[in-house]
Amino acid sequence: MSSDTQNENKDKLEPVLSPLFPKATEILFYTGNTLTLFKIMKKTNTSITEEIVEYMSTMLQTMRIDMNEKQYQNETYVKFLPISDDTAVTNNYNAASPDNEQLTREDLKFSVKIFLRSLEPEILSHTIDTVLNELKENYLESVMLSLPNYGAQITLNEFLPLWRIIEDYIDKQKILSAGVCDFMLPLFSDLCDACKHKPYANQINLGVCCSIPEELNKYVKEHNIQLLTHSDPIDVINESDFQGVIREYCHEYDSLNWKPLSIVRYNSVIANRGIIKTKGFFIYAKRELRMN
Amino acid sequence: MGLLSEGHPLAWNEIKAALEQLRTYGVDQLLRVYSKCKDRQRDSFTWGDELEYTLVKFDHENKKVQLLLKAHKLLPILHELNKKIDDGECCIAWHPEACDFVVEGVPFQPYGFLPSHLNTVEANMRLRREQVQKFLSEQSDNEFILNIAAFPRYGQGEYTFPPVECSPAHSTEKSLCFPDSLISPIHPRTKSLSENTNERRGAKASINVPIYKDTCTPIPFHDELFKDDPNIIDDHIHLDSTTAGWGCCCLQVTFQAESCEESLELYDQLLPLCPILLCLSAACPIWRGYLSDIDCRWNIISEAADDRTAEERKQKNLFSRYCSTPCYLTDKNKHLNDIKIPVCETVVTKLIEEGMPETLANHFGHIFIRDPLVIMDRFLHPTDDTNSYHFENLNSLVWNTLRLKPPPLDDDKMGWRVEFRPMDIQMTDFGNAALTVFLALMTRVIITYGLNLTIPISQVNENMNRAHHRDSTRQEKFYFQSTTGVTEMCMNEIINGTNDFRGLVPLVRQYISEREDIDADTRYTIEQYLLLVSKRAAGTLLTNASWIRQFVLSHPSYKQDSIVSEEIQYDLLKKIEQISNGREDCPQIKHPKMETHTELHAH
Repeated sequence: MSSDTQNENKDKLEPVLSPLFPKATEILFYTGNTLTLFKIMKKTNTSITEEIVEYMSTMLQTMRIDMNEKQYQNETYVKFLPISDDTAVTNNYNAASPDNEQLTREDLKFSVKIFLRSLEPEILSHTIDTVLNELKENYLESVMLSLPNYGAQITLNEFLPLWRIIEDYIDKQKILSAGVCDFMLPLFSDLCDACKHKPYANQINLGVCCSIPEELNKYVKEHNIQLLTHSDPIDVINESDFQGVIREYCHEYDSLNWKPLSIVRYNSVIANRGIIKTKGFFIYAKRELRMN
Repeated sequence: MGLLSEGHPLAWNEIKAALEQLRTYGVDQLLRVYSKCKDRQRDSFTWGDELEYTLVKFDHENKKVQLLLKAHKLLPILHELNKKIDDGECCIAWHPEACDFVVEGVPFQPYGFLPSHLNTVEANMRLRREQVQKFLSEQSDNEFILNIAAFPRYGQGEYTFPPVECSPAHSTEKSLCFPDSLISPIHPRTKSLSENTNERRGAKASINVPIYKDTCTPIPFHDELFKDDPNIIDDHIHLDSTTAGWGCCCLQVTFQAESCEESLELYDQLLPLCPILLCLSAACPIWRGYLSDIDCRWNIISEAADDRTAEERKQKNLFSRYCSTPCYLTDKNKHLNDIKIPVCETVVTKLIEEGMPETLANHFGHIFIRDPLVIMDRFLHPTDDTNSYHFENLNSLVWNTLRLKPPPLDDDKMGWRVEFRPMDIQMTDFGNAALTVFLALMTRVIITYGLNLTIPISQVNENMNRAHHRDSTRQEKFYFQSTTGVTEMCMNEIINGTNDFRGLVPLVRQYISEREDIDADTRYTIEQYLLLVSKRAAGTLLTNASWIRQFVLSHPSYKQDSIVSEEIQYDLLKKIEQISNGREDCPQIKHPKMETHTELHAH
């Protein structure tokens, strides 16, 4: 939806007189498949932050238009899920696809990038479980883990508990391969030496590095690890932006104190054709409430 | 080019006597193919490029360079060499082309669907020239294989080695400057094509290319060599043979689609991109030793390969069989087929009766109005149902900017393919790889995002003409479908975007950033290619044609008279040789920093 339309619709919304989810301490936005929503030919600012804000806005707006006032009053974990089954990737991989194409699970490759804004292992487990549940998938081909601040100054010991969780999912065959983001040497080599399931890839931002770091390139080639690339910023969405979106569409109180803890970007690609089939986001946040 | 098979070609009068029968065979085979393959699905994205190379010989002492008629000697050697190469990714398939100074090289194994395949294209292209150059260098220091879209003094003076007699007596067509000995002796098919085209047409080819009017160019310019030819026009360079067109070289890319349906959709979306890529690839400003006012080869070959009789030329909307793609294939784009092309009605009716959608039936109905110009005798009468020779033969004898290639009856592994054919070949492997990879990515972008770029055929045709104009990349506007409907946009806007429209390069970047699985080497390489396309569209880097033009105009012995002398040609080609073999930079075409590291193997 263009921001013009959003503004129009926003003006039509009545002001919110009392908080919509006063008891909520956890909140989840799951966009469903955004590939069909995005007006691809229009020039837009394509920063991931702006993209996420736009989807959150759309979902909140829809919630405002459709909802009944009492819906979320007692909820402690509010979930905003895709608008209809058409936009969700259900087990019918052929939703929103050309008439004759018959896709199976084996045709697709799911890639998930988890942007953690907290190093608490619980957050990571919860995020992975949420993704598996909402996508209704038994396994994901690739999970990439991105840490706060591109993982600057993190030590191996701080990181290992998180990686152990990943290894656990790998053992359970819920994740087929996993990798890390923006790891430089020697942290990367230390990780590879210390862990049970080596990362299959390290995803770096070429725009930041300007050219491929030689030492790292040598290391990955020697150890049969892929060097992948991304163009994501250091912080995908911060407290201020996150709360700001909620404030636009809800009561002031609804937006207080939220801290986004994990953001997930996922896609599914028709593997043998290089066609992106679905793409979407999960944004998970928590807050403490001073009052009951 | 075309189907190569052993045997003897039929003479034109023999083909003429069998036209009805041949059409029936062709239609039956097409129906069999359609029925067998129309529901085929799940084919992978495999794809490949075809490059046509020119062999030249330098004479440093006399500052000359000539076309080297050596393809027939090289091809068997190359064939032997590649038979011994086990590694499919290091193996090249070499084909003869119409002229004996051209060889066509194709990767033996198609590129696949992994992102890292995009990082193998340039290395593969380089390998092709290396294979040939090695043999040439063993025999001589002066023989080279180069990427030349149109040899500047092709048809002017003594332009071949060994020298050949140029006179009407030495040409079936009675051409003054393009003798039969230019034609590859390796395969009877190409000679037959030339002869039959000429015979059917009932006259030799007649092509007039507008000359570039410089300060000392005669006003009007008369092409002296043809002063007795009634077909010449003031201020135009004249070419008088089909062979003039067949000596041009191009870059073609073929994509396999998932299904018949996807192939038709992709074809329709690539159609409006033909003039765009032609414009960006422009590489032929010089014809028969004169600087011309056009930059591309397409319209010239279109006229050279034209087999229409004098009567047929008067018919409305019946164009040369070598022409811009005349129609969309899907029913939903039917309304954009605003140029009503003639079709073979009985064929169309039959195809529709057998279940083919109307618009696709019309496309084939149009192809079937053409006569098959070459038939090899041993294939004249099909002995069984196992091959589709007559259909494929005819399909390969119609040359449009796109070609739909249904699966062959005798190969279950091949799916529905779309061939993209408009681009002039680029001087460097980097240039060819850049356009090839950009196009491959565009196909993924088109399918992923369901782009609709279609515009009426009449506007595509207009775009094709504009693309030919001198410096069209910077000077012309093209009809293009953007966010606000069809408008006329300049290349910079189409490729790099406007305030409203994202632009094709940003769209590709969007797609790339949404794939999580592109390795760093490939990403880096793709970025250089996108920068090339982007800057060329913006005019900050030159097209090959503009650079060649600039070279001539600033050459010390150029006399402002549009004439490209032997000496200028020699210096130009020497420079091209240095640049394409990496010994010299050409910063007007590619920034030295735009280095790629490609390799032959995908991961």
